[in-house]
Amino acid sequence: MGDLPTTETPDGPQPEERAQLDGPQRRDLILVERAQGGDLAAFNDLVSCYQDQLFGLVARMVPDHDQASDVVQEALFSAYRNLASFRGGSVKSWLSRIAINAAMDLQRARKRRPVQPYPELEDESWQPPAGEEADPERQVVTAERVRVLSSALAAIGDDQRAAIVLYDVQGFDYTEIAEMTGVSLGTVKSRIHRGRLALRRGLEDHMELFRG
Amino acid sequence: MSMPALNDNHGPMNPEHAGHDETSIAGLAAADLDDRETAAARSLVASCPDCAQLHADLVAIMAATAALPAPRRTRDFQLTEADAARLRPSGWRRLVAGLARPRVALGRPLAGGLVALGIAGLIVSASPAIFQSAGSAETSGAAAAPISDQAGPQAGFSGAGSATDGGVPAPSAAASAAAPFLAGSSAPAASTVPETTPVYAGVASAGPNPIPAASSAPVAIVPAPIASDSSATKSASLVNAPGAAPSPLLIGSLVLLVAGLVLLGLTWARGRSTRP
Repeated sequence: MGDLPTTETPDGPQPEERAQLDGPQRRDLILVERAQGGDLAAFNDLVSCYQDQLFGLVARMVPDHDQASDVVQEALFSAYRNLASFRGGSVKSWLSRIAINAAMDLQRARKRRPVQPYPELEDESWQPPAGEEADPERQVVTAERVRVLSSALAAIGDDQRAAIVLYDVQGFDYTEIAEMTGVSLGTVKSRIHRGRLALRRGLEDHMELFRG
Repeated sequence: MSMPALNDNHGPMNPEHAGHDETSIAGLAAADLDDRETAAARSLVASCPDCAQLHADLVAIMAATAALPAPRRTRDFQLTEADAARLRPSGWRRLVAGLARPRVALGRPLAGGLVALGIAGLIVSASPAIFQSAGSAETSGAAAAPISDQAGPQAGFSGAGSATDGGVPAPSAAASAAAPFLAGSSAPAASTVPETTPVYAGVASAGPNPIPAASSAPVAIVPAPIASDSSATKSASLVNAPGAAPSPLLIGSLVLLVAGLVLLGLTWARGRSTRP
């Protein structure tokens, strides 16, 4: 990443507004401005910052990792194509919203043309990191917990899963999720509450893994 | 004999628990209830073992969900120059992209303004003909009414307010008013009521008995221009007379209207295409 420009564009926040933003937000806005000016390297800097987070988000919603990768790539293509429509605010939320919509579109397409259910989530990438001194029994329990929870998450409704992933996994607050998904705050809360209840029903036979 | 329901610990479920609001327990676990709801949920948790178990389970699930390891991506998603060149808007997409920029967010109001101006211009350019045909309808309505009553199949063409010389039915005021909006068609001829007295094919315009006999054959309206000195008819002729050049006001209004509609369409298309 090169030197960040200090000049303001007319579309971006004013200097006093920008001064109130935290470091990553300021960096993101500057990168977006440069990308809007045609700087591909600036856009790729944004990609570097958020591709892990976007893949983590999409992979929870589209458990097939190849499809999740395609969704993230398409979402980033869409973001680049529509840079001009970025209206300020959080770049992370903007990219997440594009990724969520791309994932939802894929889910809807799958429902229209059902092919085969998502595979069981036994990818090694879902295994927790193991320290040298980690207790093998504990590792097995943790791995099994991750497996059954991921499967239960994949089985609940798309809207509930998106809300839970955004809140519990990605750390967005209710207001951000409401803006991203285009629903009211009450609907977000309801989806999260009902989604957790659905998860608990899905985990009924495995709750002992979580109670210890 | 029915078996008692089991709870998640495989013990018998408290029969009262079925009537308890699980969503409020979920809200308590998420700590996003107001004071009154929190108190109600807490009392449920305190009094019902199944609600207490549900609350504990939901808290454990929340913690486990938050601790889920992030899946590892298997590829790098950075864009290549070729991707960028392919995705960069070109041609009309660039124009539309420009319209969507925040500084050009006035595109939609501008389009609305152009459309409004265009419509207003059309109305103004049409108004002489409207007023003229309304006036002629008022002055001749009484005389025309009986003829219309007798006109049989032609009544549909003449309408209640038809003006005629010698009983020849004229186009209705409604048709006259609509005529300017049908520029280029045969309609403009019908709007110049005083100068243009339509007659039916096969009927002499000055004949003593101009009402044609009822016929099953379709009739055609043929305009017959009549000279007039009135200023209103002059202005109407400028706009609508057959063969005369269209009024600049009419042309300008149409241009504004079309430009406004195109701009509206572009901003609408941009709004749809940029929906993330």
